[in-house]
Amino acid sequence: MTSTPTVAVAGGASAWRAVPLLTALGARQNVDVTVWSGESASSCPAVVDLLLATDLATFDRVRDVDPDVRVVAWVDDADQVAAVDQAGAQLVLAATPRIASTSVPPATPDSIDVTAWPALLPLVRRRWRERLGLPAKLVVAVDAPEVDRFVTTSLAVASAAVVTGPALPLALALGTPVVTSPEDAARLGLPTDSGPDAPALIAEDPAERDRAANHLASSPADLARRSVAARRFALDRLDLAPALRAVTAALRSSATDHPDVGTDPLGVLRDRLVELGTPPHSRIAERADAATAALRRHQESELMPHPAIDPDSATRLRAAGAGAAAPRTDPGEQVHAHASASGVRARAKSLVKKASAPVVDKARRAIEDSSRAEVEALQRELAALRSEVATDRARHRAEVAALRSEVAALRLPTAPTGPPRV
Amino acid sequence: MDVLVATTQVPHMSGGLELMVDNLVDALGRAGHRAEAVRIPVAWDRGRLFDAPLAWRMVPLDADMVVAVNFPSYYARHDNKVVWLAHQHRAAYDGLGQPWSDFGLDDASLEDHRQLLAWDVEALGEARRRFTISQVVADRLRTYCGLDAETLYQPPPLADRLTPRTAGRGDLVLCPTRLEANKRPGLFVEAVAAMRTEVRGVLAGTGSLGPELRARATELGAGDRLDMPGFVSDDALVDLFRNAVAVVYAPFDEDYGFVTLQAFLAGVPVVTSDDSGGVLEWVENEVTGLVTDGSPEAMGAALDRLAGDPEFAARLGAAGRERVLELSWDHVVTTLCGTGS
Repeated sequence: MTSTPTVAVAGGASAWRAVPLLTALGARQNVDVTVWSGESASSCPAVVDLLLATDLATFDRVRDVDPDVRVVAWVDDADQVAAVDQAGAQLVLAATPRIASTSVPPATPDSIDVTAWPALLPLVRRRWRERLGLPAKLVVAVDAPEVDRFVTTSLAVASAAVVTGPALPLALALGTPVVTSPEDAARLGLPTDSGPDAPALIAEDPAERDRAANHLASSPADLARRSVAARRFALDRLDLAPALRAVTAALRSSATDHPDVGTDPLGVLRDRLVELGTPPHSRIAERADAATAALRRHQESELMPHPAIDPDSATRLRAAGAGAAAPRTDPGEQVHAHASASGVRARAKSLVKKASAPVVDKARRAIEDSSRAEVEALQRELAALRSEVATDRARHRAEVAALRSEVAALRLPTAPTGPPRV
Repeated sequence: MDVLVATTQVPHMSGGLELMVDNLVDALGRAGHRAEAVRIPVAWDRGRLFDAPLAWRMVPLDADMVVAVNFPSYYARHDNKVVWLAHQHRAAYDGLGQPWSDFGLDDASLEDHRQLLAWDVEALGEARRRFTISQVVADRLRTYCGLDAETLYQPPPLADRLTPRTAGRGDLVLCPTRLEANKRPGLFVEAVAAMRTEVRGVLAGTGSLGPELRARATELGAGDRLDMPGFVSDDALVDLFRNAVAVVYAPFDEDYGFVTLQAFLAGVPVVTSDDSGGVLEWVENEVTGLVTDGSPEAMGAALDRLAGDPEFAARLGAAGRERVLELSWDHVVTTLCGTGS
């Protein structure tokens, strides 16, 4: 594999299915994406780590082109999974949420990176409305062709929402209690029953949808259930993360130079945070980072075997311990495997002292030199200040004398004493 | 089977939850299981609130089953995790806006709040089975987290020793509780002062409000009618229940309230307030006790009525006892372990 993995999209009309997956993949890691029409083997890009066949026909066409290239196949029907698997697909992805499962993760145009969005339960929404000065009960209707910040905020703080169109996956990911249309529900594979744990209510008529959302917003217990069910549905049927993980793993498994992530003990802590849906820059993630910083430093810098530990020397030490001839480490020095701990410590101390003596002398001299220079500079500064003060004092004295003589010249003759005249 | 009961430890503090855990461990042992409690310290302040949940996520729990009883012990990871919920972190739920809640409307509070609720849904949602100690706790879980749970009641501590007196009549009104704000012991002091009947009041328990309550009783002229013995032994508590004509228990939105059940087992009716939460699952007005609006006048009048009509009081107490007699630890254990019929 090259240092930047290359993914080739092999497909015609169905290639758009791969867009959300590739967008999320690109956001997480550096990947080169190329498009291959798949018409002939000779047109296959020279270096490809993974080939994406976005429909069954494309998979059939490309699967034998290059035995070294792994192929990811999209299927539209659960019945196709076994055949594609047998035909050697590295990974099978669901082209529709309807057939998504743990073993066939979804990667559809409606798929969304769910964990990148917070789950907002009704009580949290209520607190945000309070903070923003919004009504205690807020029902919104969203049918925007694009999901912008206004749409996102509306869905995040609403008590309940009527949502149709492309914002529906986001609404579900945010845990918004939702009422939608039968067409949108079918597109996302939402269940048609309206039981208490249904992730969304479905109504044909727009006025009916409004009424249902208003009614829903007035029932706190119902809101919480719908909110949890919506998020759960988004995670199970719309989430890109499983497909992303599988694609990333497939890319890694074709690498020869990638470190094995399974050896990272602190990765368990990160996994636990991820499984609880914790944003990477949340306060608890930062606290966990801080709490394990010292451990991580050890983990990263002192990978076993420690760079300072040489296996050949260890072999020699083992031999010494077994009674063989004592190994020589450097001329004149002999290390005894059976030396006592205190003896080793004393020897180490003396070696450290010996090695550090010149450095200590040099440091002391540097401190003395710099102190001397500093004292001389201060003395010079003090002398200058003193002379300045003396000059000022002389000038002030002269000014005071001049002022006194001016005052004396201005002094009036003394007035006669006695009672005031009326 | 091997069962671990996951719970929290607040150093130097012990209360109803600790009793519940001890009783559960004993009951599991009596039923032939190997049971032990696992405790991890917890801090309730918002700045450190997530530390203990994360610690629970990392703790290896080698057992056949883990029973988690409160926040944050239900963050324990186990394939066979059963939650028997005494409470979540109430400051983030029904306690919002209370003086003891440190969740405000600032950015950090809102984000911590969001995080906590999302985590709670995950951690509680992954439990194999969910139970709560009372209906009020189940209602909170449904309302705030959208999760269902079955209510599983337990007998209170001293259940085997509390019996109705066989002769004579009670000569005191009793309030055994911790002297802390959420238990509202002040209501009892005010009620005793408002009583017209000359009956002694006993406020048994310890807590930070002790001196303040003593001063208030004196101020209201009820100092000579109110005993505050502080901590009382189990023997003394059993005697107090037996000699009571009525028990007052009116905390704010209580999760369960052992005191109510203990009073009923002793055949004593309970006077409470209409905002006392789990207590109201047991105290039915005019049937097993008297439910008031929580004002000193109403509570004083309720006590006067029971003290002045011992037959009425005994009838309510007997009805209360009838309701709690069926509670058993055997039932709790078989239900939690999934071995019940």
